[in-house]
Amino acid sequence: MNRKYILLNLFFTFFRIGLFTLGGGYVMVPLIEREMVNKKKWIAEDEIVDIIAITQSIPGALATNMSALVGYRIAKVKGAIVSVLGVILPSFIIIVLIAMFFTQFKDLEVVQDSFLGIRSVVAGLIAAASIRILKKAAVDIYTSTIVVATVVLLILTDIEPVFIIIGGLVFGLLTYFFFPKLKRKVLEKEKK
Amino acid sequence: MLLLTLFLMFAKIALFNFGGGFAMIPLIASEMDKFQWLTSQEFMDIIAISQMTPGAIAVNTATYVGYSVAGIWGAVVSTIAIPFPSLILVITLYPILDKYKNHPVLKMIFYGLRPVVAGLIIAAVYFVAKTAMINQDYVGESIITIISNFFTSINFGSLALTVVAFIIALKTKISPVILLLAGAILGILIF
Repeated sequence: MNRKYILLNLFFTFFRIGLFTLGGGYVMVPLIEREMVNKKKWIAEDEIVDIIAITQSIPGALATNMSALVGYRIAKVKGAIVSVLGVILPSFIIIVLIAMFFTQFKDLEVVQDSFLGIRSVVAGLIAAASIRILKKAAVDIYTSTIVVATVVLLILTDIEPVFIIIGGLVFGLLTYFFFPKLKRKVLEKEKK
Repeated sequence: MLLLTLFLMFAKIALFNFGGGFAMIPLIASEMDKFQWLTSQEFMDIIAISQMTPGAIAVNTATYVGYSVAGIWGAVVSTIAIPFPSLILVITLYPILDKYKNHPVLKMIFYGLRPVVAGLIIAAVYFVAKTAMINQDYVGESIITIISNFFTSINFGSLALTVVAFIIALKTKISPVILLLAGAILGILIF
């Protein structure tokens, strides 16, 4: 296949995925998988498993991570760049349009009331998401303590969240290097 | 200068963002406190809109905050800043990422990171709820004042909506977008 054609095709494929996925990155991962493996057959099934593993282990939004990785696998640096641009462009266009109009309406009482309702629902949705991750995150006394400490620090102090994230990362590394017993226990549990 | 600040801020947030858009909320909230660009209510409205529109929540939020702070170019640099760190990582370190993707050290790093992400998301509930459930007169008061004046400080309509949305989201597979639209309609009816 012609290289230019591949890049254009990548761009439009990711543009379409970015445009038609509601609900964030979690929804996009299976969608990209289906598109790349089943429909276009650009990526083999066992390769996509690797890509998803890397997607989840690097920082950043899942959707853009996965686009970058798939694009890179197919067409190296240029592929990564066009795929990422493709997936973020619909968001950009839609959000800028909304932002332009919303500022004119946001002081209307009916808009204020509806957004108070929406914010209430958002709190409930995030609470549900937190329960789901809590089950996977707070697996023993150490990790449960970290959850509580994180919440307390974030709500009661002005500490930069970045430092808490680095703290969690360092705790994981320390466990790997200096606490072999705990490490073995955690890794065994992960296998199940 | 403002554009550069926005770019660096969102690139930093993306670099430390593990675990999706919700975990990002306390990170952006902390930056907003520092710069005083948006009120927390404005910021939470942005989060809400970002969930109801297509695309990644992190990208949508960055675009919107960027636009609110510095217009169209603010939106451009903020949007690009989100994928920037991971794009650089993929382009420069792909062979290493590929080699270590299933390494135990990575599993252990996430053993330590996951509880922090859970904490970030729980704190995000608090940040959002604060902009919805607390009545106007008590905005900015301490938690203790709010709790000791529970009956006048809390908006019970909002509290009820949150609890119902929480239960539905946890127990059913109804799309969040539908719940958010229902929240908008109920908001007009009850407030």
